[in-house]
Amino acid sequence: MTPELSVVIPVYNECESMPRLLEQLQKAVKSISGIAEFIFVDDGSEDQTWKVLTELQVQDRRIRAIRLRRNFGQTAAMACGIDSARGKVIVTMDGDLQNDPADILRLLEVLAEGNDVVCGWRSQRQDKLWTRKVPSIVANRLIGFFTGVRLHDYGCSLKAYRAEVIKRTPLYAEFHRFIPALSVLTGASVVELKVNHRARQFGRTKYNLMRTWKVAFDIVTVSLLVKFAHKPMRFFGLLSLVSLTVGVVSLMRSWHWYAINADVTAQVLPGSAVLALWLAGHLLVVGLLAELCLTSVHERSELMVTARG
Amino acid sequence: MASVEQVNQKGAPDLSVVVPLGSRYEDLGTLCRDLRRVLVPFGCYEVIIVDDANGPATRRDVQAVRKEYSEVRVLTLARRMGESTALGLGTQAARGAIIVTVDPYLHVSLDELPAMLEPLRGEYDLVCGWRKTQGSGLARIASNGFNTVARWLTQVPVHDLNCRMRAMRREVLQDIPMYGDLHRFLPIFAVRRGFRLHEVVVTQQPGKQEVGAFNPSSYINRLMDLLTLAFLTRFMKRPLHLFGLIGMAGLVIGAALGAYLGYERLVLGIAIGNRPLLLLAVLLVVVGIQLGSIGLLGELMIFTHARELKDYVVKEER
Repeated sequence: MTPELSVVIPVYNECESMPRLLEQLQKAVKSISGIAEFIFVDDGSEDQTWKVLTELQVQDRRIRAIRLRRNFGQTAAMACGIDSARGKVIVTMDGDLQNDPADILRLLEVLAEGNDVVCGWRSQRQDKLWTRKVPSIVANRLIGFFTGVRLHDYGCSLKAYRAEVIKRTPLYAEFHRFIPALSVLTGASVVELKVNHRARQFGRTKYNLMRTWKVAFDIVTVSLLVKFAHKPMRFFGLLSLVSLTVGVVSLMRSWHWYAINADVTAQVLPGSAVLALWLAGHLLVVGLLAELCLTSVHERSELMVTARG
Repeated sequence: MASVEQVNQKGAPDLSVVVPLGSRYEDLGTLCRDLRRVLVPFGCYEVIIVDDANGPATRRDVQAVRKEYSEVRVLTLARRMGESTALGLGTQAARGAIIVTVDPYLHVSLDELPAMLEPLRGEYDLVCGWRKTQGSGLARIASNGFNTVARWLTQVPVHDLNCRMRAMRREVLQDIPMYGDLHRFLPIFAVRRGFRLHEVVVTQQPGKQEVGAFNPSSYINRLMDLLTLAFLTRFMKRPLHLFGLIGMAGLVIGAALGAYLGYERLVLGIAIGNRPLLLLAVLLVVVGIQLGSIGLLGELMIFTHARELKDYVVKEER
């Protein structure tokens, strides 16, 4: 029997949290009609996680356990779970008990109102202020500003999706926190909902501040992708034009100087002008290459609007 | 043998030995005889000889061996493809649950095979030979240098990429998309995909030098391959991290130099037009932007093909 709901939980070294998590999940889905499946993805844990998982599976046949060969990262583990999910609705969450499964019902209700993606918003975060909350707020503001999809909490793993929407969204590298922004590319409607957040009970946090620069690059990439993935020439063409203008203006200025002084040797401008023109040409070519790259992909049409039924 | 996911059909051997034949090789009859002796405790096996378009003399040798030893199968290539590719094609045709690759010049004695197959009974997926010992000066240094660079670039602890004596479970080859010459780098691919690698120290037979041991052009080619490999394994999904980082570095340094020169010109009134430093600053800025744009192009490419590239490798599913 195909399940209605799939709950995807990537886990990494969370053997202590899992039994309690399962209890809470079982309680949470009691009030939901239809069958649920719980997909735990063991992301190359080094502790007893897999063993605990296989034991729990014996007790509850709704559990599906997938083990990855090594630690591939949260996005990959999540993508794996999503790929194998069979439900019409997919809920993703963290495996460390910081998300509350009781919120799932409310997420589903909001989803049923006609939305495609419902994101949890940890309005009362139970984390350290300066190392976790402040960088988070800054990141959320930046992502919202650059991508145009303004959410209060991009980092909350607890989200509900219509299966057809999330399965179509490209998910790779470390993009799991950008899924709402990326799904907008398929025309999805994204809303947020306040959810509970609990302090970490077991184990240690897997995040640190050193990843900031990588996240910064990712923000740039995602915002550009969201805006220009369908028409890259607009982006590169614009940059090329700017460069061209700079080059031409500098060149004209140099000619003017040369006309007066007949001396081109001690000149800042001609050299920079030439390089600016070179850059303009390069950016143009890259833009064309990007367009070429897109036309060779049949999936382009798939990236279009989500059908609503 | 250790756990195998595939169904063992009737007649499929437990083990396959793949031998790619280049222009030089040891006597095939001795090879097969030694294999028989050494592989006795390992169940039934097949030997796949890949004739890399070597001409009629080799074909005759190979046919002679095939008549005498029934476990031998032959793959004849119509065009010379190179040892690595030949090896790859041979492994594709292999039917055993365990696959062993051997080099035909027998740099490493076949007696070392059992020691290499042993770890596969346990938790390891791929066993590679590591020729720690002798070898003449220049070739040795080049080889060590190459492996050190490989380790540094790819972050994989492999010590002897040129040793063709390897033993692996079938899954290792099935899960990894490789083409042509990349078989040389199999350990790197495997470790990145999460397979467990074990290296067994083996002795190089004395008096048997590798053909063309120190061939500069081939080392340059391999270095290029290595660079591609390192890039693909570490940055494949995130090209902007590499290009963007270098690009930003260029941009920042260029901008800093530009600011300094601007200060000199505008505040101190020193002419800067004929300063090479100016050219450098502008060049760095331009190159920075160029690299950044290429990084973004890369990202776009990955993005459009994201659905075909699976990030993860599943080990078990229940």
